Amino acid sequence: MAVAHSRTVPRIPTLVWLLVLTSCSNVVEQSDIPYDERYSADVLDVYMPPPAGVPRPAVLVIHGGGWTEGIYRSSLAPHAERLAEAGYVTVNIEYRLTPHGGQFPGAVKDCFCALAWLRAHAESLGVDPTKIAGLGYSAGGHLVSMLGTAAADPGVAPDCAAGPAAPLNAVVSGAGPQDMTLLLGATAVTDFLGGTKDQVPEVYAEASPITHVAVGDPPFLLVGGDNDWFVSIDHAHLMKKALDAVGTETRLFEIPGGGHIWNGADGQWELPLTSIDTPEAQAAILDFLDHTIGPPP
Amino acid sequence: MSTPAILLTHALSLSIPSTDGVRGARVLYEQFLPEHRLAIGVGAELRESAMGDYTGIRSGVSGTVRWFWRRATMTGWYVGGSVYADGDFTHDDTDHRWLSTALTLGVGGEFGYRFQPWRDLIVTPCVGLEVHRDFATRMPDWTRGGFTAGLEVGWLF
Repeated sequence: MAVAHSRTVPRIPTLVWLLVLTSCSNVVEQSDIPYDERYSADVLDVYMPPPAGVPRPAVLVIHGGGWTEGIYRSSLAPHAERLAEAGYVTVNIEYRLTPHGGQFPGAVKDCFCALAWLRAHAESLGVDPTKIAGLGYSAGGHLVSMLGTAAADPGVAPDCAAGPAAPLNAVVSGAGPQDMTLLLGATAVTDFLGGTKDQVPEVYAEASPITHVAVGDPPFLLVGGDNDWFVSIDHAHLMKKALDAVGTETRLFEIPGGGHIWNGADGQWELPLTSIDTPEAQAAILDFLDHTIGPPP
Repeated sequence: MSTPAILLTHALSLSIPSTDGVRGARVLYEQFLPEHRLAIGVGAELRESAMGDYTGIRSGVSGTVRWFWRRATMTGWYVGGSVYADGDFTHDDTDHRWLSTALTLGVGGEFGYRFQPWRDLIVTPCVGLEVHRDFATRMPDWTRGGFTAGLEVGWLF
């Protein structure tokens, strides 16, 4: 007579395994890849979805932190990994910060180098080089906007091995400064730009993405909270107006009551919770990427 | 001779953070169990969570438990916990279509101090920790945690 063994299978371990398996990512991560050998800071992490047989669209992810030390690419690693899980090849970059050569235009040049590196390695990464978007938050939102608008400016053209870079094909700028003259005179800003707006007005102008807006700029999604004390939502409003004026497709995603690093959650302020973290913003970002650089295969 | 105070065992509060931007509100009703010094509450929230070229609507319900330290009233220091569920709906106003629906489930712990500055008016600042998980239709699920700060204004009755 057969003995029923099914009762001997413990139920809790099965559930645990199910949870583990369903939470396992099929994304492969390659870490600390140098994209400009001249600077030790210039490394990136690549998050690759499974091979699809056809090139995938890609997203260049740029962290914030006031262009200075303290916040690094790990802050946006969850975004990079989740976008890869959604089907995009993502590249999460580090760049030189102000105490270490990142003073304008250093950080901008580094980001252009990273973009050039991505395009140069598109084939080996399974990326379509004509479908690369950028996603950045705060200072990263500024840098990604520069990658969308300032590629023609010789003042920020990189001299790295990968060469100069064409603009991004789409830009998602979360709480990104677009007009540097609107920023408060915080040390991080004056350190990045080498002085106050009265001392170096020409640098403030050149470092402002809005200065470079021109016909042919890639589509922009501007995300921000209207209670952001660090980067006012005015930056997004002005940038949208400038981009609209030259016929660039631009979307504004504004969070009522949203701050720079806090947002509402169940009737409370939650920190850290940026404006690109909310489920609504995530939906808008993914839809924008699908619409501009195409849905992943 | 003074009249003994009547123990008020109900409270209705409005969360101030939920009114940020004057685009929503979260209301919490609490019932006090004096023998356990416990306040058990249910809350409901409705707010606009996106504007500009999008419309976002967030609606949610929550349950809270608060244990008041040293006092058999619904005031003073307390520790508590809460669970909540939010539905998040995002609409693209340019292309006139719904983008996504997301469900957020959260659990948190908090401590705070409830004071009564005037008659039965109550003010409740609190801080805590929270973990929540977003279940979205397109993006992978996401579990995150963070610090929370709250402020409620309400009335005892």
